[in-house]
Amino acid sequence: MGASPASWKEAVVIQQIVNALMLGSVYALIALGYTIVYGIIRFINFAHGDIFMVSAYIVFAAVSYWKLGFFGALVAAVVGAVILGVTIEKVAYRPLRKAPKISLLITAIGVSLFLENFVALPLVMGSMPKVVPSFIPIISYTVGGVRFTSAQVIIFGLAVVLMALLGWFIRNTKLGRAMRAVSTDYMAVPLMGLSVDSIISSAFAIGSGLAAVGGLLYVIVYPMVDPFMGIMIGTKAFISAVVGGIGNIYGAVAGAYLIALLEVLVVAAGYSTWRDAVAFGLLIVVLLLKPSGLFGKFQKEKV
Amino acid sequence: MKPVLEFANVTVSFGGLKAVNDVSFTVYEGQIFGLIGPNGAGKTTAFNAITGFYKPDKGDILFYGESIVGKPTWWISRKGISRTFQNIRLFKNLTVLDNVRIALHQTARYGLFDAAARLTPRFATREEEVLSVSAELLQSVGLYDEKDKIASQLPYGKQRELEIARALALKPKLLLLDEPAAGMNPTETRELAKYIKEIRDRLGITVFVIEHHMDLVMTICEEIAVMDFGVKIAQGKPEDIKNDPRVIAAYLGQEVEESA
Amino acid sequence: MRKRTLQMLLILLILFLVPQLLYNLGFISPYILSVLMELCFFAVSAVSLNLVFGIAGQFSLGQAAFMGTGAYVFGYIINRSPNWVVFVPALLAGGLAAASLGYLVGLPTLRLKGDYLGIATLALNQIFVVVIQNLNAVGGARGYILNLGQTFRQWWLFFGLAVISIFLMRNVVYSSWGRLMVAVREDEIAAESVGIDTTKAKIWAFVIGAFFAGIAGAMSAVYSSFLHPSSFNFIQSFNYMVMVILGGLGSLSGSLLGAGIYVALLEGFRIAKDYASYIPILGAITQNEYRIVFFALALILIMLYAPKGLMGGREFSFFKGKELERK
Repeated sequence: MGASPASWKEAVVIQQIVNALMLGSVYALIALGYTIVYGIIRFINFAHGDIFMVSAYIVFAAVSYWKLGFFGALVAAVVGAVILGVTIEKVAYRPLRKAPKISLLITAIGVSLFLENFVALPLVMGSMPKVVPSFIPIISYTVGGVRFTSAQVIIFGLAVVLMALLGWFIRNTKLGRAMRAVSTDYMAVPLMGLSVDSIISSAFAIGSGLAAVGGLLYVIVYPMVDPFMGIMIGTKAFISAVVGGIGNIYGAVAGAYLIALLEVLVVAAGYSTWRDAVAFGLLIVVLLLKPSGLFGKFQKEKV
Repeated sequence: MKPVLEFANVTVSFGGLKAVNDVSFTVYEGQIFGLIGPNGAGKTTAFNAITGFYKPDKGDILFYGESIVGKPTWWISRKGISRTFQNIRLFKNLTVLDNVRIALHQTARYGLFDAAARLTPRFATREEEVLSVSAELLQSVGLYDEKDKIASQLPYGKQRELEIARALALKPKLLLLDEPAAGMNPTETRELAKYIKEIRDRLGITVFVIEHHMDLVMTICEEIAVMDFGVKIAQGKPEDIKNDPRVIAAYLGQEVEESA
Repeated sequence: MRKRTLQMLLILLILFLVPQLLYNLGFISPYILSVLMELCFFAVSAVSLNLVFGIAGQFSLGQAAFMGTGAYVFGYIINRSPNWVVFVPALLAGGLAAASLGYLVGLPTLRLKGDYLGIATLALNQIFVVVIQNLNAVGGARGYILNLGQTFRQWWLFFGLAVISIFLMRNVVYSSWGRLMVAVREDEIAAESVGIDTTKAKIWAFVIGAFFAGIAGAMSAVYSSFLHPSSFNFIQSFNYMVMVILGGLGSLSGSLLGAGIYVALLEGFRIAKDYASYIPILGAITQNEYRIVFFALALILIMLYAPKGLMGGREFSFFKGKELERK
């Protein structure tokens, strides 16, 4: 093979960056759920990846059974995920709030196993992967040799808008400020006229809603669902949150895009079998050098 | 007299605040040495520097002539400096006996194979010795009958005594007591004073006490240093300290603050 | 003391003989015997994890990687010549390899505390899986077949290894070594101040725990004769954590119970479904697919009603360190 023109090489690099932005957006939306919940009750909700999975299945059902379009699927997934997330917190986690933290973690593992294997039941969805039919018109644009699709624009745009909204919400609403307060001082909340229960419920609701959007965006790019899809994606999202500094929403987003970029680069370099090691390796390095995460400093400024 | 502990021009700072500022004093063998001062004077910080929890920014700390700056806490402890804590740090959920037994790890020295396989009598004999030494220590503080109680269930005064017994289990040459009379009533305080003197007289251990209130220190110490706002403001015999105008001013200043 | 030892030996003899005789007389199927073998290495692994987390207080989610190291090293050696002469060295090599990994992992990560240590060990677990997937000498992602036949798949071997391993770990816990680990778990600052090198104590706990996890891994290799990277991923580490928590943190006999309940919930279901299949609705919902759904529900319920595990940190009296008391 002869030397390729420089513009072609550039196009490949940009194409990889576009891919990383897609994957990163999904990781970021899920990572936010981990980080918001951890910030408030210091609990790693291991079932969060499965909420993403259930949302993806709701999208699948909305599109193939109920013949809904993009907005219908979006609303169905978000509503379903929020109800699921809030119910799980109420039924399985809330009674254990004063129990040892490890019992809560084991319960979360139980919830996660339950969701995965319940969805996999033959009477529910079955354990085989299902293909999600295309539900948004795909229009391609080519700018400077790089191909964009309308789907990619929607994914990135929606993710950015939601993250900006979340940032605004946390800073400017009463509930958002209460959430920040509870993460620094549990006792401060009753002073703000809100109950701890309602704040924790809201955290689970917001986290689940964002994961649902993550599920929708994911099936647009990778139109397949399976009952165990939440494990690895959820874990990567969780790592993003830790790498960025768990409890810090900006850190979670930055961590998500960083991990997505590294993964895409490793695959592009021909080491796809090492792909999963990248996120975990980065996690170890960050934990050892700066256990509070790359943006852990922001946590202190929360006060 | 042989110097046991030399605290030489030590400065410890947190951010901009100098919690201990260029402080020097020497504790001699066989002494009961007192360090007093109002709240926040830097007394506990000095203890934490001696025991390796904090590293001084400047100055040196010598134990029998050897610098112990930068050494890990466990190393300093094994070298012969034991301590108690201002807010009592027992192993709260463990039994009274286990609290002492844990500290007897040098008596209970045997290899992993002795512990796991127990093919030689070494495990049994060492553990037997641990039991008899713990029994002695617990009897000396009158806690032997309560050896199977959980430490946190003991009354406050007893917990302090258990902490001292645990510190003594390490066979220290120097014993650091951080506000040992805190929370004790006058009777208990008198008992404690007697006990501290016994430790020195019978076991020959040099004792270094921090106190916020002066009464205990005045009765047992031969030499007293006074700190205020991180600086040493006076040192001398109890009667000199009692009448030192700088000391009176420091304490008076605090009483004014406290009553405000 | 003497009497107690004899009693214990008698109980162990009965525990060994009953399944063996029932099997030889045809009362229990090879399947049930094989479930009991599985229980043996689950128990060893659960107790070793309890030593690290319950006794020394170090939250590890990397148990499966230590088991995997033991399994693969043992498997690689025994596959050269599967005979009894090689068996013991191969087993010890598996344990020692896992212990070395425990040391290497522990050295940098044990500075971390609580959740962070858990996350770091989980990550190392997953890196281990990716490394194995890329190691062609042991089959990579396809898995690794061991040509062992039924030579080593004996009840006495599983039972014996479990008894010896658990006995050794129990002795370590009820010794000065164990006391130092408990001290580190309870209060690191107090531990340091009574002259305990807490870093060293934590690393020892990790190394000892990893050694026996490696032995359990080697046992699992004998059990299944086939090793696959996914059998040692962090989800498997969760399973051992589940056993430990079900039984109760810090209770070694609880971990035996936890492993027992774990196996009973998963395998008991298979047995129960044979009987349930005659009853209309029960028959329909007891197909294999429902197994883990019910397991998950049981797990959640146990945690809700016994958050400290079934033993709640207590110990069955036959496990207690009576030798450390005055006679």
